[in-house]
Amino acid sequence: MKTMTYGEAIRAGMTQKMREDDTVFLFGEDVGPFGGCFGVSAGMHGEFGELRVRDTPISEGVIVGAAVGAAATGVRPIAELMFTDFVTVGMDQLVNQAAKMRYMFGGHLKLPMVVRLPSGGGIGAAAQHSQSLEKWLAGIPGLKVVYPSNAADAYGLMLTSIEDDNPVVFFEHKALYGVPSEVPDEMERVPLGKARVAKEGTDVTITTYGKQVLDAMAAAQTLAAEGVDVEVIDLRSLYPWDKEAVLASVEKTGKVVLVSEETKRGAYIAEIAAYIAEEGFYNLDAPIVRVGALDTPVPFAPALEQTMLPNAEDIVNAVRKIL
Amino acid sequence: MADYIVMPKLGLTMTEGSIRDWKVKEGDPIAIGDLIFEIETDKITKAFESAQAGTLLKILVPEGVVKVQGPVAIIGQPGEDFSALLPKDRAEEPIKPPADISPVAEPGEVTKPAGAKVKISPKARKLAEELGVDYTALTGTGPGGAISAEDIEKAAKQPKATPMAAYTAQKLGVDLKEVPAEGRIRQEDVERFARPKEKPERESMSRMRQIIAQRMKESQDESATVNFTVGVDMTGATALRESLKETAKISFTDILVLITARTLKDYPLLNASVEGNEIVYHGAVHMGIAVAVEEGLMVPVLRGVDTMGLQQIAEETAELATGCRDMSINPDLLEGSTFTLSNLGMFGMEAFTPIINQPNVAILGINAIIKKPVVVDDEITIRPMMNLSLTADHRIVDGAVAAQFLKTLKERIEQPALLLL
Repeated sequence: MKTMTYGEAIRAGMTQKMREDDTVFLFGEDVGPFGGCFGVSAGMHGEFGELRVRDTPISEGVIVGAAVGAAATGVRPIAELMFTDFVTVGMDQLVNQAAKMRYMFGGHLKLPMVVRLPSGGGIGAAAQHSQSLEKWLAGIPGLKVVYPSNAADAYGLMLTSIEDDNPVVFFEHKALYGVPSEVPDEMERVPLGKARVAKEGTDVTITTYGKQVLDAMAAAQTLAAEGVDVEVIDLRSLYPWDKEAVLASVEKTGKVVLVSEETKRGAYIAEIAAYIAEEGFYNLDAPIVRVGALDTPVPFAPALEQTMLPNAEDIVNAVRKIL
Repeated sequence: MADYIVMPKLGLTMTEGSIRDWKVKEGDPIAIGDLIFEIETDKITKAFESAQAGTLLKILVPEGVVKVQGPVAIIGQPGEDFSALLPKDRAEEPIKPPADISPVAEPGEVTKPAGAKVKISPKARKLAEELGVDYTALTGTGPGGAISAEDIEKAAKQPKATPMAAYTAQKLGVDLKEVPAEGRIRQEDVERFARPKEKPERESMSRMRQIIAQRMKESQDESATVNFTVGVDMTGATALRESLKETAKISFTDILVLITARTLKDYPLLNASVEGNEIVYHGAVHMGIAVAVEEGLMVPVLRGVDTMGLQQIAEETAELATGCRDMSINPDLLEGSTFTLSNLGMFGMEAFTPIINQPNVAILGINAIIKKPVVVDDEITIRPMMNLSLTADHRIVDGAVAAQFLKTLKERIEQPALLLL
């Protein structure tokens, strides 16, 4: 075992694929010699050169559109947007083009592209640079969506995302980039659509993804001291998502807390909640509880930002509510 | 016009009676002469015949002691308002077990009113259906007081029982889990289970038994008893009985009553009582004769038996015995003995130590007549032999007196003709 930060793992995944497959290339704002706004692509420009690690203008529409076009020609682009918030600008390319092309061309076209979206708050980046918007994209047919929570998964999901012949939206949490975690010596692919049981337990299922997996693990630790045996499920893929794993856990515990950093209103986890209610209703022994951000833009003031975003304490409280 | 049915006075000394075994229910019509309940006094149990006709409107005393002339029920016309006759402080109806006792509700917990919405998790409801648990009366421990799957599991571990079974189990201190039953546990299952483990069965003593117990104990406290036994050759008495067979139906008891009564005239100390420091000589012999009845023991009294002939004794004894056995005897005939006979011969007894019937100072126990080899004129011969068991109160009856009495009695029984001297 060794440790690796989340950001290093993403870089390692991209690098691995670029070494294996010279149709894989990375582009985005400042991903080149600068190494990316968060340093994720540091050193890659040096290894792969100007053609395969390309800086772009500040135009998300162009970045995503170029990825769509490139992928349609058979290469495997990785497009990085500096902040998820700016996916709004590239939304037409992503939702109306990338997501629809294979379907509208009757499957005669592959669109093997990855769009990397640095996401989430907690770093004092204010309302336009801190949002969590996975709900927008996880509900679009034609897009696959992943959101790793740790280095091993970030690496493994990067490999399978690049290898997939469909557009994959790759969410990365900005606050996780520098967080180290253990990875196996031989890092492996993580299949799309497969969740991971981060911690086994019998009393309550916390289902979450991304940074909130860490919060959930902290909450589980707190609750364990109270004798509550929490199971933590890390979804890893938001679409396709691992319905079987979630339902199996709910069947075991009968109680489920869903956590997301999105504003609770309309958050992606509402889809999970609805699905559990539809398919796992008779296994529910308590109301489904959602934990999300308060219903407001992400504040700049750190104290307010911490209040607005969900944390481990919020999760602990949510679990206690249904014990 | 509604009126009371009251406790009758069945004898001069009766002050109260105990009601039991109502033969009619409230609302039943009653005719004059109908048996409506049983009365137990300290002497007898007797069915009460109504002297009134009407409808039984209200039973005031389902069971228990009532003073003579005290109201026990209200009789009148159907639908009549008898509220004025009700005692002001009448106790409410006996508390019945609530119908909705749940086998799992904890004592003291508030049960939900019927029809209230039950808060139960989907999982718990499914589990309840699978396990056949009636969750409507459960108290939830889940979030917001909802019934959780755990609540159902706990309830399922509780054996299924009818409300009455649960109530009975609680009453008898029976753990329902231990009660074997096919399917749902019913009340009779609980009762059957409880039976072998029941504490010793308890029963209130009847009035008669209480009186007997009290009198026997008092007697032992009062008297300084001493016991004597003598064997009597019954050849003569047998011959006497045989000789009268064509004339009258005479029992050995009758013969013994007569001989004892006459002999007591010669031994007044044994036909006496002790009152403080005085000895009361009664003169006339009023012979108590112990009669075993279903519920215990009664001692009717043959008054002035010392002047009676055998036939009168036989007739009156038979009458008294019948009166005792069917409880028709006038309670006054159960009082006033001066000496008592107790015959256990029919049970084959050869000797016993009877307890003195107070305020007597002696009691004669009569035993079985058994043929035995005896020595008569230096010859072993077979004779019908009987033992007499005398218990005397040594306070006034010394051994010599008692022994002489017994000796005389023995001689007279063996030679009844001596009485004619």
